[in-house]
Amino acid sequence: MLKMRGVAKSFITDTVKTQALHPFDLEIQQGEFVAVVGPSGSGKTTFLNIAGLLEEHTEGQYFLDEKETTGLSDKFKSSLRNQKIGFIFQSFNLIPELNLFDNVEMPLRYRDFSAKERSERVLNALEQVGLAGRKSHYPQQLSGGQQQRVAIARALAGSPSFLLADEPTGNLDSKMAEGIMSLLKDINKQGTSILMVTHDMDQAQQASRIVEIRDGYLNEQKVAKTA
Amino acid sequence: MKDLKPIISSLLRAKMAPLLLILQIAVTFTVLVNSVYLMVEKHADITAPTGLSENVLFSFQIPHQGEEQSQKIANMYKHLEAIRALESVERVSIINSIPLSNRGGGFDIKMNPDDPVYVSKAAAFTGSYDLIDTMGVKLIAGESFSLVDEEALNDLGLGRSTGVIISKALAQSLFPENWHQALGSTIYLNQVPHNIRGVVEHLAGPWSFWQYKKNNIILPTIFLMTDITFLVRSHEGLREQTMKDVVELLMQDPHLHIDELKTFTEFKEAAYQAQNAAYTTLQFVIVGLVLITMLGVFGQTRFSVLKRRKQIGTRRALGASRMEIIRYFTIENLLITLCGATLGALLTILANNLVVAHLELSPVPWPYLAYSSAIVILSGLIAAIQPAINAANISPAEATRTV
Amino acid sequence: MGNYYFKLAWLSFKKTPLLSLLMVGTISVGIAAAMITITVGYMMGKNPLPDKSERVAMVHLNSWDPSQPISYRKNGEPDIPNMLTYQDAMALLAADKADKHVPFVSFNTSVRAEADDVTSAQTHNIRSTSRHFFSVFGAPFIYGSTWSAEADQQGQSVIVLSKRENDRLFDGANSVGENIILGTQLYRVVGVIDDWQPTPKFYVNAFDMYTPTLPYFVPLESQIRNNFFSPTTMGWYCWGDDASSTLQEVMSSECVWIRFWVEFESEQSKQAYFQFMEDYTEEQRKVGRFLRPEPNRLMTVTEFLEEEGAVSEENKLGIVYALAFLFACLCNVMSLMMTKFHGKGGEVGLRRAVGATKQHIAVQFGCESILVGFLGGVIGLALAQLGLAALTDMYPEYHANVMTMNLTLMVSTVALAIGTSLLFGLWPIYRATRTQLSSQLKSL
Repeated sequence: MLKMRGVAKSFITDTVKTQALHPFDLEIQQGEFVAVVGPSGSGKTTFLNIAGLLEEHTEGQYFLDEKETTGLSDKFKSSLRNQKIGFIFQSFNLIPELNLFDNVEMPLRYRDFSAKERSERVLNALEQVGLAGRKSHYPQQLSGGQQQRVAIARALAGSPSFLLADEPTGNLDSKMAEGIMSLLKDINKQGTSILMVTHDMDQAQQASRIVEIRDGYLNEQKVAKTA
Repeated sequence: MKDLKPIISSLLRAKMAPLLLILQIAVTFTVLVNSVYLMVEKHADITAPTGLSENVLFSFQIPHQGEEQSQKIANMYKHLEAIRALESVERVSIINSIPLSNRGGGFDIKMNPDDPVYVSKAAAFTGSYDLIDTMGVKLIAGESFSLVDEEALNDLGLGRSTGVIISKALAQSLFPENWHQALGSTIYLNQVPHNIRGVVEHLAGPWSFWQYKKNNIILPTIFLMTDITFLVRSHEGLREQTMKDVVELLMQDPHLHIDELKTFTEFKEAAYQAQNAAYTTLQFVIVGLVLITMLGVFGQTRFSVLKRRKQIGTRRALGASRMEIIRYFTIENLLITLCGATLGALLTILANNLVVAHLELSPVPWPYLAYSSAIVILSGLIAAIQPAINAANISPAEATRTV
Repeated sequence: MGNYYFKLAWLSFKKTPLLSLLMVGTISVGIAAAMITITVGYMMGKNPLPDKSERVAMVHLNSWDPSQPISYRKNGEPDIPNMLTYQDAMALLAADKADKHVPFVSFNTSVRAEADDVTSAQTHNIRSTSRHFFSVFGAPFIYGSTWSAEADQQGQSVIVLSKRENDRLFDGANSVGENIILGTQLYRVVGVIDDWQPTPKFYVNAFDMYTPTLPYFVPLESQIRNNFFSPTTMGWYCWGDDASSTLQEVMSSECVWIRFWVEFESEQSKQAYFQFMEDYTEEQRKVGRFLRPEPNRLMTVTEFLEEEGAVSEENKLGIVYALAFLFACLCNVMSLMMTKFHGKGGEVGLRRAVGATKQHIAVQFGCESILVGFLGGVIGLALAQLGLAALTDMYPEYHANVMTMNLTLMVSTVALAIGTSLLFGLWPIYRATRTQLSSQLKSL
């Protein structure tokens, strides 16, 4: 489903070349839950941006659902992000002036769905995160955990191949964080792959695979599967 | 001045936003220069002395009575004497047209009958010999007319040798080096020679918009037209009463109707209505321009503070005082305003050349560039105060906060 | 989809009310200033006789002083009189070479209805002309009609008055057949014209083009017959030594004082008429008149308006400066939009991440600019109306027609606001679409 071959990223500023990510291979299959761990400044975010097609890698090949993404036009990448990837951010990134329905609907607006289909998908997604009854509320009326659920609903509404979660519980207390983790695991069980960046080893342990990034080098960690 | 270098380099990096503001100030400046100039000109127009005792004068018309010329003249003098006899009337004269009334006649003035073109033009006021005293205009050279000069005729009496009294402005245009030379000289009106026997200081002409409005001639001929126009001078503060008295007196004759009963103040207001209106409009325009400039500076300074919160926090954390932050933004804004004003001055010069070349309007004199620069820079400084203080209030802790 | 974007634009507008109001306010002030000057200029420069402006023309004959021209034109060339002497006007009338002739002057006298008391008389300017004045210049009648050809020839004491004067003297009743006393003469009413104000009032000189039309009309020949002469209001120009102190003297002099318009059925006859004017001049030269070199002119309405400068230079300059002011306002708005869109960087990043293309972002912010422009246009339109109303009060010598927007101008106002706001939004929009995707997602 997601296949990276020799992918690397380097910046050239003035005369100094900085290798943010050294070449690596990575393959993620349908239904996997992969945690990415590592200290800050190690290249985690760069990895996530490349995986999410937000940033261009400088070497190697990246296949998404068998499709080569290297060098695709901005427009094409936008539509790939829209259809294949669901984003979940540490700070939720909901638009405050839109209500929950409109927030969740937002990505669908960039796709050719009829109003009816959009509405069905939004309601399903909100149902899935348990907030269907609050579709007319505004983000600031909700707790942090609920806001992150809305963000997850937004990521799910377009039926993506995988979710890309960047520290999804980073801004939440442990109780709420637990709720979000179990929701993510539920979603994963229903078949959606998840790629999650975290620095919390406990959470990482709940994933099916752990990948560690340190000083720009990516290593697969063989971990004992709990659960 | 140690701030200058980082300011310039950050302005150069930000490019578009300061550039927009510079452009905006430049254009505003150009309009401002012209508006200020026009406003000062209009103000000079409105406040130019008419030379007349504005607050005690009024005028009106009545038709001539009688069939024969002699009968008409006799009736005219009868009315004149009756009005003069009224207690509230200080003086009364017959006149062909009222200054600033938009009605009147004028001449080409020549210094020599054979000259192919005229030297200047002037309007003529003609009427009773004591017209100057009734109007209240000030004789500054030569002598006034006396009763023997007065005559009632069917024309302006240009052939008579009474001499003329002219306004100082006309004397100056005839003798630019020394207007005193005008006294005793001869000018030609319709090819007829006239000796200048007196000069009055100020006298407004019939038309406020006329190029030669300050050039006027006074003659002692009562020009018999269909109506007689009287100019009445009341005692100080009694104009209302005098007007009532005069109307009452004339209404005793049931066949008489009084027309155009107006104070001189009304004539003046009507004549300068357009200039007054333009003056008011220009004041609004200037306020608008200043507000737009201030708004622009305010917005730009706020924006640049907003974008640099962290940087400012860091500066504060590293020991910059509030004053230094305020100074930084004040200098930055001053620099932009100066650039705008300079570009605006260039634009103004360019616009001036275009205006002079295509629109036959006079160019703006140089001092107005300085006035407008002062206005723009001052309003810029005022507008930058609030955002600059705002910036100074940014906490040093901002430096460590993630953005 | 458009709906969705305008909804977003509205939400975004409400989210930063101060910034939004500043943008709308700035645009509306600029638009109002521009549209006020444009309205005045446009209405002043309008073609007052669109269906026949090329078939109605003014006769200018160069009968002036051989020793010096009457005046100089703006380009420094000698000008010729735009009025005729009485003898020339009568000669042209007698030759009868055009389809309709309209000579006219004005004089000043007291006016009252016959039934009214002498003390109720008011002095008015009277237009003294021919029977064709109304049809050539397009004045509509509500009662009666113009006077007869005989009235013109014999100088009958007949009069046409304006609706306003008819309301004043006769309470608005059909006054045809009633009598009015002009000075000491009895005039019979033959017609009443409706409110009528060509803008510009093209048939007189520029300084008079925006003043109200005169309220009374009589045959020119009747003025002469009844010896109406008002030296300070008639407006004539003389040269040479001819006396001009009485109407008779003016009539026999070389003084010019009669404006003379003609109407033709076709533009071809206009050519022929000019030839006739040339022939007439040639003939007059034989008796020692028309000795100046500058050619005669037969100026159509449009040519005359152009020549007289119906739209004053100051007005044109005003438009230029108002547009400059609008430009300054728009620079300001552009700055504000950059601030606004900069503040929305996080939203842009998010939308881009979930699949919006640059075009989507451009359309979204484009709609926002349009919304700002539209609101600015509507408020600007209201401000312009207020401004025009204030100007109408301040400049009573201009007829209110000049200060009135027609539908085209109103629509243009809003269109101009939207267009310019979108134009000046292009750069901020472009900048917004270039937002770095990845850098914006951590903060929102």
